[in-house]
Amino acid sequence: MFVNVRSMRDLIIPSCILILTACNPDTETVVSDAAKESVNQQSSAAATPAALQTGEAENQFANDDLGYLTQLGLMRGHLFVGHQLYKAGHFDHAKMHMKHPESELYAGVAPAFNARGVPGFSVELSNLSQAVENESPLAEVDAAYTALTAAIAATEAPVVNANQGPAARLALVVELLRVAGEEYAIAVVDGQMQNAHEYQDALGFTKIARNVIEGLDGVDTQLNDTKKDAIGVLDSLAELWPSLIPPDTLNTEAGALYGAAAKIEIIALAF
Amino acid sequence: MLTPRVFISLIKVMKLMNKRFQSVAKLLSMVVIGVASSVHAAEVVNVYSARHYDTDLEVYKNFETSTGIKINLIEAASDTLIERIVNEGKYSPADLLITVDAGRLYRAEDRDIFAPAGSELLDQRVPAHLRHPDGLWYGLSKRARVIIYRKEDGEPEALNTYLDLAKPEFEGQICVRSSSNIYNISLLASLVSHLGEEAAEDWTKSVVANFFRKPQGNDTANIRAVASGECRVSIVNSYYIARLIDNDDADGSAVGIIFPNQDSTGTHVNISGGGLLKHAPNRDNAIKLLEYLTEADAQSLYVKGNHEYPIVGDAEVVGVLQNLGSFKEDTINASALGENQATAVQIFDRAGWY
Repeated sequence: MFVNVRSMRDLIIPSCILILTACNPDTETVVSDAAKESVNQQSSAAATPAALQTGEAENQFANDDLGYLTQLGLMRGHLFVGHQLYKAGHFDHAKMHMKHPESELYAGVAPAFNARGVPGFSVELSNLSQAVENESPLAEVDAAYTALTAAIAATEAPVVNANQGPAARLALVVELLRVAGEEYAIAVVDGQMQNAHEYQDALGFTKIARNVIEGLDGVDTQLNDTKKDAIGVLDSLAELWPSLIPPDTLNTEAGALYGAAAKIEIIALAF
Repeated sequence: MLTPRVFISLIKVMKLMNKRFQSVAKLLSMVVIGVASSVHAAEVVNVYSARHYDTDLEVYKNFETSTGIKINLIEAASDTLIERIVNEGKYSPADLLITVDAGRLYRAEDRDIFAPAGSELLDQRVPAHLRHPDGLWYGLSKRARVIIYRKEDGEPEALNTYLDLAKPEFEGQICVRSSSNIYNISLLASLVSHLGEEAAEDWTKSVVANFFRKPQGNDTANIRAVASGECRVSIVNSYYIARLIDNDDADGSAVGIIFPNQDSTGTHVNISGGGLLKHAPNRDNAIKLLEYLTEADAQSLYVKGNHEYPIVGDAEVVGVLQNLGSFKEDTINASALGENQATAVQIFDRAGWY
């Protein structure tokens, strides 16, 4: 099943690129380098995805670090929740989630693997998907899952190791949480469960976001405090997923995820 | 809890995200300027702003210095911010929305995201026609939508009002930006208020008939078109002219300004403004910031730094802005600009002003 995620980006009315030196026809932007310098005592090392290379949509993640890692993060999220469902014996649910990365996401990011000089993981992806489809023994599925996550890590490593400071990692967290919000908004409507798979997707993406935070290298007090604050934000989301298989009704809403993304975006200002 | 640190970081994040890999990537520019790391500590205020000016950074810095309240600033397009606030709902960390144009304030109001600020100070300082009657938003600065002509060709005869633009003698002489732009929508909304829908539509059709070319470009591009002699007249916001002049750009000085409707309703003015958000976690700080933005220092910076007219009556208009000339402004309530927005858009469509 193809997941149609309504992105907040679809809500953007101006279609041109918004940058500080502007081409927004509605809000002409004037921020001089001097102003930026005068108010910026510390520039963020946040990920700054490159602009889309016109005419090269198929390789759009070759230079866009944030987009690249987000796609990989989303795949991880699908796989995580699929694995959890399989472990709990919910085979049909698991099969649905295990298909998503291969059928929906891999093809879009695969061209970037070549450009970035990393191997892909189509074999590992297929192995896991097949093991789940065949309802293989859990040990076999676990092994395939472990191999796949290691392979994904290999595709992430060059980016993460090269230039991913706290701000960039938190930008990824924000992105994953926003997508989780979009999924959850489809899943739960006015307290009614409408789509279990989107509910589970949101769980998966949020879990991956948490992993990113927990992976921050906390060598200093500030970063440790940041991690603590960010984890605290995610802890507040626990009630959104009372169970892997959702109940029919929930007193929760996607706003919690959007709000969490916003709070972490603000927390990230420290870097 | 993080120890508060006095530093400001500027993050520019451009996001490309399309899970389907089908359409042109949607780009969201999020400029995030923040000081404190806690979103809801007593010493912060979280601002979502659709303004992107040097001046604002300086104003915010002065606020931080004078109050000790740190500003976390997220910048993006107005409609994006409004959607964010709606989606975040009661979980939003945003305290204030600041945006450009009364029409956008109306859109925000229409999405029920504001709460009354309940500030007597703001009610006293901001003229009644430039704030929401219930305190949902307040104008912070003004701009005039003026008619311009090329000085070298002389001021057009009998062009003193917006209605004059519809005269047959201006056939093929008008350049203007698209009707989708909120500045034009608000101008037409004001004409709907004054003239009624039918007369406003007649005017629009006649102006369309006077176009030199299809609407294109932004205000600055249209200033340049007039300055170069490509078109005879245009309608633009005042601060774009002032900015060009201040930057010693010849096109700014090449155009003359007509403040329309001086003998009747006055020139259309629009506002940048802001409002307290319904779920603001730092309500008191947010109100303090709004009030600060109407104080003399902040108003002065809007004038000098960004060539916007002050919202507060006794604030001084100096420099380039002063040299543009004084004028009588339309005192229609800014709310009307939003209320008639939908009608204005429909008129534009029917009249063929795209």
